[in-house]
Amino acid sequence: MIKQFFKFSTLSLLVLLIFSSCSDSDDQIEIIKGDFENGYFVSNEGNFGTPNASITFIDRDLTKPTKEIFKSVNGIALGDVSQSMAFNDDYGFLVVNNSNKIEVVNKFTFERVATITEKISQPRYALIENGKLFVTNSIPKSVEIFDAESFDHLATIAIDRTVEEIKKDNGFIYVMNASFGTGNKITVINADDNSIVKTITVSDGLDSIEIENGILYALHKTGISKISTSTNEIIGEIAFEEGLNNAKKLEIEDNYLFFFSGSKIFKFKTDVTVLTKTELVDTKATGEAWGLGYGFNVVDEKIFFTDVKGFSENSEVLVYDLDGKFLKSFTAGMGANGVYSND
Amino acid sequence: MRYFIIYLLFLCNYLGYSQENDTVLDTVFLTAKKLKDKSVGQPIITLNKTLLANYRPQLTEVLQFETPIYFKENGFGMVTSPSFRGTTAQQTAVVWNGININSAFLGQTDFSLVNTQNLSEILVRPGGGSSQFGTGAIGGVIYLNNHLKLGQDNSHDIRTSYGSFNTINVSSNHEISGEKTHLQIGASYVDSENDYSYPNSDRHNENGQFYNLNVSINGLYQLDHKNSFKLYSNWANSDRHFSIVESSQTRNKYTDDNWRFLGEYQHQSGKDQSTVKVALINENYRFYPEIESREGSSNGIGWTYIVNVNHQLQFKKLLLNFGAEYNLETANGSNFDNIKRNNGNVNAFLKHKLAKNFIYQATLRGELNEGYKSPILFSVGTSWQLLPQYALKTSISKNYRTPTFNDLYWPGIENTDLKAESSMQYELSNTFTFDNLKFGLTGYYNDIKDLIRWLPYSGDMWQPINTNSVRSYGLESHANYGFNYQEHEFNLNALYSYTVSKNDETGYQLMYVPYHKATLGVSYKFKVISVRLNTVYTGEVFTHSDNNPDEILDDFLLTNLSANYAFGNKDRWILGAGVNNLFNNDYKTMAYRPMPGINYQINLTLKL
Repeated sequence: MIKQFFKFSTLSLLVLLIFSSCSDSDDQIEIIKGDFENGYFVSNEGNFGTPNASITFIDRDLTKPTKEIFKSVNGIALGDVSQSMAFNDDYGFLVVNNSNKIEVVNKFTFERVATITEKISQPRYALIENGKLFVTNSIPKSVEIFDAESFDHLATIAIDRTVEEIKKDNGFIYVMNASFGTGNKITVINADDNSIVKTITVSDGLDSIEIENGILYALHKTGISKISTSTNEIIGEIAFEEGLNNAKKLEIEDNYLFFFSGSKIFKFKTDVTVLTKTELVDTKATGEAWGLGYGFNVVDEKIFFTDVKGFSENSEVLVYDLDGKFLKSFTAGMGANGVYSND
Repeated sequence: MRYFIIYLLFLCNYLGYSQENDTVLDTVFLTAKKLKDKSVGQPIITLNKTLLANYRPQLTEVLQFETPIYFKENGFGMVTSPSFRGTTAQQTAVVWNGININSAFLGQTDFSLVNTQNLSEILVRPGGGSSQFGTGAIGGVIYLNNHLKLGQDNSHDIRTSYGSFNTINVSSNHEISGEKTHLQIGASYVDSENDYSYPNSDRHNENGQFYNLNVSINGLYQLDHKNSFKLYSNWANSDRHFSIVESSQTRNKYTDDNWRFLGEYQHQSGKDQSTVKVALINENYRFYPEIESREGSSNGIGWTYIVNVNHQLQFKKLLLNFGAEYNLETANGSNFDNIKRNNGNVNAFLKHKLAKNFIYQATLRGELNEGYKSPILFSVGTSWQLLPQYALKTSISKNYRTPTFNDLYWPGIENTDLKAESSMQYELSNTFTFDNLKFGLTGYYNDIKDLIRWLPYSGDMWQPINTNSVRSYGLESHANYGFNYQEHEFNLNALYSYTVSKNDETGYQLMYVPYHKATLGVSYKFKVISVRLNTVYTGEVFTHSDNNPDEILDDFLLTNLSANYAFGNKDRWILGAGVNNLFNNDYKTMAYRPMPGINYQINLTLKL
C-alpha cells in the first residue's frame, strides 16, 4: 500500500509541478522526501485525559485518508490532546496540549526528531520565525522561544494574559489574548528583541486572528477588526449584519474572508463594508452546535469543515472548494480540530 | 468468545441459584423491616460480611465478581462508575442504611471510594426502586447495610493486609452489646502506591497513589419495648492522585471528605409503628490541577438535610405505610454560590397477602421539587409461589434520575424546563429452590426517556437538555449449589447476564455496556482451611458511540484465588494469601486505562 502511495505521490507531484510552475521557474523534479510530502494533515485532538490524539493524513486529491500516522511511523501514541501544528522547511511541530509537550517530526516522513518538554505547560499554538519556534504556553501565560534546529530553550516572554493563537508579520509576533469566547486583546511582540511592543484592544469575544497583505484581521463578537501590521493601529471595522451570530474561526485565502456559524460557511471579499447573513454554503451538518466546525481551515483553495460528533466517535471532515461546491468527505480521528498543509 | 463458551458449558452443568431465599409466605404477619420485605417481585443478591472479607475493600471488586454490574475504571483505585442493566453511571442508586448517598454534584457514586469493611452486608437489587429510594434507582439499587440488633455476641476483628504495589489495608471492627444497647465501631484504612506495571507494555501506572480512611460508628439504644433510638455515622476521607497517561503530564489529585449522620427514633404502639429519621450528609471535594499547589484548585461543599417520617399500620394480611420527607440540599464552592434546593415528597406503601401463596406490594410517591419537574413514581410487585420449589415474580415501576447540582446550577446555564430522566420498566423473574440448589432467571425491559445531556444553546454557553431515549432489555440468571461431604464444604455460585441497551435514535448499543457478563465463584472448606476461586468473564464493549468495530475493548477473564488457614486458641487467628488476576490477563474496562496484571496479597486476621 505504501508503495502504491509512493507511486501516487510521485504522480501527484508531477501533476502539481506541471500545473503550478508559474512562480518557480526551475521545473526539475524533486526527490520524494517521504510518504507525507504531498497532502494534508488533520490534527485530531482526542479525548481530554486520554492518549488518543492522532494525526490523519490525506493526499492532495483526497483519495484516501491514512489514520494515526504518528503512531504507525514511530510506534508510540502521539499523546493527550493534539492542539495544533506548525511547520518549517524540514519539521512539523505537533503541539500536544495535555501532554505538556511538542513533538518535532520530519514533516515528510513523520519520524520523530525530538520531544520538547522544557518550560512547556498546556501549550496551545506555535509558529516558526527566523529559525526560532514560538509557543503560546497557557498555564504560565507566556510565550516560550526555542531554537528551531537544536530545540534548546532560548527565552520566555511573560504575557500575563490568556495566550492563544499566534501569528507573524513585518517582524512582529501577534499573540491573541482570548480563548473560549472571552477576551479582547492582542499582544504585539518585536520578533528581534522579544520585547512587547503594545497591546491592541478590539471588541469582546475575540475568536481568531489572521494576517494577509499587511493587515491583521481579528474576528470577534460584533464583526472583524482590521489592524495594520506596520503601524499596529486599528484601521477599520467590518460589522456583522444583524442575525449573523457566533461567527468562528476566521480564515483568509485569495483576498477572501472565510468563517462559519453553526453549520453555515460564509465568504466575503476582504474589502467589504458589511458581513451579510448570506452563507456561501450550508454544510447541513447536524448534531451538537459546538461539534460543528470544530476544525475549520481554508488550505490550498479548499475549505475543510469538521464535525467531531460529540467526541464520542470518529470525526467527519467535509471538503468544499472556494465556491462552496462540495468535493468530498472523509473520516479522521477523534476530535478533528484543524487541517494543515505541510508547505 | 472462547471464555464465553466455557461459561455456557459451565452453566449448563451446574445450574444452581444464588438469589436470596424467597420471602417465606407462611409467616403470621407481614413485615417491612428489611429490604427483602419491601422488595416483593424483585430478587435480591445478598453479600454478607464473610463474603465481603474475601475482597479488597473498594466496593468495585466485590460487585464486579458477584453481580451483573459493569464497572468502568480509570485504572485500579481510580474513578469508577457503574453500568447496571445497561444504564448510565447516574442511574444506579447507592443507599446507605436507607438514605440515598449519590453525590448531589455528580448524581453518582464513585465505587472506588466506598469502603466495604465497616458494613454488615451489601444488598443488590436489580431494577427500578425510585419510589422507595429516590433518584438514580433505574438500573438498580446498591444497599449498604449496618445491622444493629440486641443480644449479639461481642466481637472484635482486627485485620491487616499487605499486597503488591505497596498496598496496606488495616481494619478494625467491633460489636459490643449490652442489655439495652448495641454499639458497632469500624475503621478501615487503605493506602497504595498503586504503581503497577501495565501488562505487555514498558509503562507503569504513574501518579496513581491513593489512600482512604473510613470510620463508622453506629449504635442502638432500646429504651423499652416500645421506643428505640438508632444512630448511624460514617466518615470517609481520601486523597487520590489521578494516574497520568504520559510522564510529561501535569500531576494532579483529588481529595474527598464526606460525613454522614442518620438518627432514627421508632415508636411501636400495638401493631402500629412510627419512625422519625433525621439525616445530615456533607460532601466536600477539592481538585488540585497540580499536586503541590492549592492555587488554582477547585472545590465543592454540599450539605443535605433530611427529615423523614413514617407511619406503619399492620393488619393481619395487610401492611400499610405512609411516609413524608423533606430535604434541603445546599452547595458552595468554586462553581456554586450558596445554592439551595428544597424537595419534598409523600409516599405510600402497601403490602397485601392476597392468598396463601400470593403476595403483592405497591408503592406511590409524589414530589415537589425546586428547579426541575419530576414524575409521579410508582411500583407494583407480585410474588406467586406456584409450587414449593417455584415462584413467579413480576414487577412494574416508574423511576427517575433527578438533575444534579451541576445540571441545574452551573454558572451561566439555566433551563427552567429541565425534567428528571424517567424510566418505565417491566420485569419477570422465575425462582427455583431445591435442597442444595437455587436457580433464578429474570427478564426485563426498561424504557428510559429524557436523558439529560449538556448541549450548547448559544455560542459558548451550554445547557443541560432532556434529549435521547434508551431502551434496555436483557436476561439475568443466577445459580447456587452447595453441598457437604463429611467435613468438606463446597459451594458454587454462578451468574450470567445478557444486556442490550440501545440508543433509540441511532439503534447503537451504548458505549461501555457489554452484551455478556458471567461470574463463577467456587469455595471449599475443610476444617481450618478454606480456598476460594472467583472468576468473571466480561464481554467486549464498544468505546465509540457508533459501535466502531476498531474501537472496542476486548472481552476478558479475570480470576482471583485465595486461601485461608485458621489457627491458635479457638481458631482466633486467620492467615490468608491471595492472588489477583491469576492468569495475568491484560484487560481494560475503560479505553487506554490498563488494569494490573497478576498481583498478590497476604493478610492476617485476629478475631476476639
